[in-house]
Amino acid sequence: MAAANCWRCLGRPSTQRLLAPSSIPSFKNPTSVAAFTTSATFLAKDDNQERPIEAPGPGERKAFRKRIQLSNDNALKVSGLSELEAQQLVDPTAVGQMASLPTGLVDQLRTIEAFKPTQNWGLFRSPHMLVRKDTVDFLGDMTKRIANKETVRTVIEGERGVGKSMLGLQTMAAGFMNKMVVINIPEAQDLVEARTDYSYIPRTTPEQFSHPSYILKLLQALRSANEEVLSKEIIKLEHIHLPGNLSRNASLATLANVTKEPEFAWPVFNALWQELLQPGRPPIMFTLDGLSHIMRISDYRSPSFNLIHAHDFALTRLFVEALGGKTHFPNGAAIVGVMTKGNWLKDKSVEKALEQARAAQAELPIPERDAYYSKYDERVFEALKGVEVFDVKSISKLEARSLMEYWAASGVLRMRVDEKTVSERWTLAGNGVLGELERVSLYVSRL
Amino acid sequence: MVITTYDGYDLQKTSLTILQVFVLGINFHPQKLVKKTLESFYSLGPQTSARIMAKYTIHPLARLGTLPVKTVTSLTAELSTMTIDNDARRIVQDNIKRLRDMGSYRGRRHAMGLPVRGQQTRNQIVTARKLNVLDRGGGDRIRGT
Amino acid sequence: MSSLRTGVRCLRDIRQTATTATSNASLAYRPKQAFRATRSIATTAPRSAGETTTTQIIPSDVEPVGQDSSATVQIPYVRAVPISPSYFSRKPVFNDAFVVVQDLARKYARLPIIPKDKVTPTAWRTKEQYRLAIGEHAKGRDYATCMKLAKRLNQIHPDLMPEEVKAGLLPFKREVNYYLNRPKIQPIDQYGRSHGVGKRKSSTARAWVVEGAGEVLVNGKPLSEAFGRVHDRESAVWGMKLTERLDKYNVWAMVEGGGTTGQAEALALAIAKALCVHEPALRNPLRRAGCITRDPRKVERKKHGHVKARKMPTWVKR
Repeated sequence: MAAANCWRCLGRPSTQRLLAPSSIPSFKNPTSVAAFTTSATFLAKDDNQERPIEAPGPGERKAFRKRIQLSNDNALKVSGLSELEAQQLVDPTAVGQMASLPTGLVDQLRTIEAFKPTQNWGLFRSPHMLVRKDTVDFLGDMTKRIANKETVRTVIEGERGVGKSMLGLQTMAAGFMNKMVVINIPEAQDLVEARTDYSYIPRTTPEQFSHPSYILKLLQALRSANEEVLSKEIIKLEHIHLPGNLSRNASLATLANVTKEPEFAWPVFNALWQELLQPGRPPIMFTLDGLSHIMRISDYRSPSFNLIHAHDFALTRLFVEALGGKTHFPNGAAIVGVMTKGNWLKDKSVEKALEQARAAQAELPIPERDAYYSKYDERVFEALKGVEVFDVKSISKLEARSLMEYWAASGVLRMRVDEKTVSERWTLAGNGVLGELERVSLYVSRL
Repeated sequence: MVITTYDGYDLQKTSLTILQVFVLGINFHPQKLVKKTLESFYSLGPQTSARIMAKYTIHPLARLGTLPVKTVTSLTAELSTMTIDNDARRIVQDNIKRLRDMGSYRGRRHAMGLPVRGQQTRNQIVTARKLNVLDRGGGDRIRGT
Repeated sequence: MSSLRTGVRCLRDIRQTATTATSNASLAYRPKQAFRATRSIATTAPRSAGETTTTQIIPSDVEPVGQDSSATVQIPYVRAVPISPSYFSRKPVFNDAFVVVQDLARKYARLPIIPKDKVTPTAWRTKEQYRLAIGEHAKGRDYATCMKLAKRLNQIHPDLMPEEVKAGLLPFKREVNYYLNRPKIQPIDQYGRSHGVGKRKSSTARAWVVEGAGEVLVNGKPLSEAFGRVHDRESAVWGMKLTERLDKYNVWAMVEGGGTTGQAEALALAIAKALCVHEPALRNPLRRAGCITRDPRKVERKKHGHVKARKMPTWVKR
């Protein structure tokens, strides 16, 4: 125990000084230390007992960076919040409610990598989400149209940190709850940055490429997340070119599981896709996060040493054709591309295409292309032809309050949540930008 | 606590099963980048290696262990048709030797380890000292088995 | 000069002062002087006129009544007499003014005065300003004594303030009484907007504040986009936050110049000023919060011979 007036105590005003002397913990018996601090036990250790710090092994750093922690036992349990239901996501009266995600749904969403490492799920006991007005607007419209076997082709746009990926997550949750087949490409950047293997698909002109390992992984995630839906569906087409032997009445889940070889990943994926396009199948939800990344020329090279356009990859081509309206979905489908603003090189083609799509949506005159810019990518315009653009806006004070109350109940926000504080944070968060609200509120406890 | 990791494919597993990879009869560690493997051959630089890899659709960050055996074989076949390594080295050395045998100025400068093309020699002739030798490119390749 | 301060006035007998001007009785002290030349030596006047000037001799009032008072005698040039007896002292202008003030103080000592705090604030010349104005080096102690009298005179009840006192104090007052300056009242325009301007470092901010729900747009962008740092966002709306007006007004602002800190703090000043237009009662809380005061600090200029503003090149002896 340091002297009462030592320089450290003067330097750092401590709550210990305010306590009665008997309650001041002693470093000699660390068991009596208040539960509030761990520094006493730390100081009590002998130096020679310290373990040498080991350097992380190959891949460990990245794994740590990319890990997604969905529960935290140190966080307080928030009681009184209902479990998310499909109806809640489309109910205008549910706007501003927080709801917990059911365990099964969490597993499904995690399997298809709907959660992102930047979303701070690890601060809370279990995943909860806010039903916001944009959610209800978007999903309400989408659900209605899919029920009519229409195809919804949407690009989710919005400012940085406004909750585009979260809306994507909610869309996927709605897809799972509505028994759709949900396919998700969690990060489009992975497909174009030449970080994963690729191969030429034989007998394709113009030549096409696939990402064998990536597609295999996607296939497996897709199968295990959609097992319930896929196992009920029986294959209708002939798949003689596929490896293994598929029995006549095998389920689609079996089809998806037929190969473990990256080499055959794409044929199997394609076969599954063709099966899903048959009439009478459940509706498809195909989502992709980071849409702008696949609207450019990739970093991969073809055997003739030319850079490959992102749309020449089979998987992206599949998505882009679905988004551009070239694929016919007899059972209804939701093709959702989520834009990213965090790591995006601005691209004039994408900007102009979205501008035109917006104008078409609002039935305004279509803006012309810049006549003095010659590098417009025709394939981008083709891919974004006729899409709807959904702009995610900032949240209202009501929604902000509901969210902040949840944070306070979880113990990550240590302040009283009243109209004044909500209003203040709402303003500081740039008039309710969701990510910024989190930043200004949870800055101290961010992982 | 649930932790999921994201990784395109699992390198670690592959490298445990395959302990060594032979390219052109030379032993490489499976963790070695294909690009580095190719560039370890004399006369293959970044450009050529990139072109070879593109030809067999190998991405720039691929490691030897992840390549299918078929691709490794075809890489070996491709490399065996090229003038690389000792053959390429010998061509260069022969050229220098010819200059030397003629007794030309350039040959003498090579023998002396000095700049050949009329540069000043007061300072900064490190590159010349390194490169202008009679057995340019080092001796024969000694590696692996 | 010190003789003036202590009351020994060697020159006053021959001077036309406030006291003597109206009193014939005091003229008895005048020396028996036949004529008094009114021609003054104007040091700035062209000299050429002096050679042929005829001096108008006026009979003095003290001369016997029998003499013809209207007679003017054309006499040749005798010698020039200075208009002020202080002419030969070192500080003639100040001396004259001082004497006037002294006389006035004596003369009107009995007029009722009002308390100091009731007097209309007057911008007096400081010693330096006075010196600069008259071009003489008035001594500090004398000036202080003079000012003491002047301020006492200024306390005379405004209704009874004689004109000559006003005139006598004039040399000691500044031309512009800045105490009477009133800040221009900023209006709230027809749309309910008030406008404020703030500056800090190299940044200038203009803010329009209107009643609303707490939306802030800076250069057309929300606060989060305009300022990446949370600290900057907080300092921009600091005044509103402290006075708990954040959810009652909307702000639309333009900021230019400088960096993020400067822009944020310039904005804080502009918003606080505009807020005061809506609610003048907030001025004091805002001032205490430090949002009303312009921070005058600027980057110090670099000097030649220096590496930066003050840093010197390293110097080693030999």
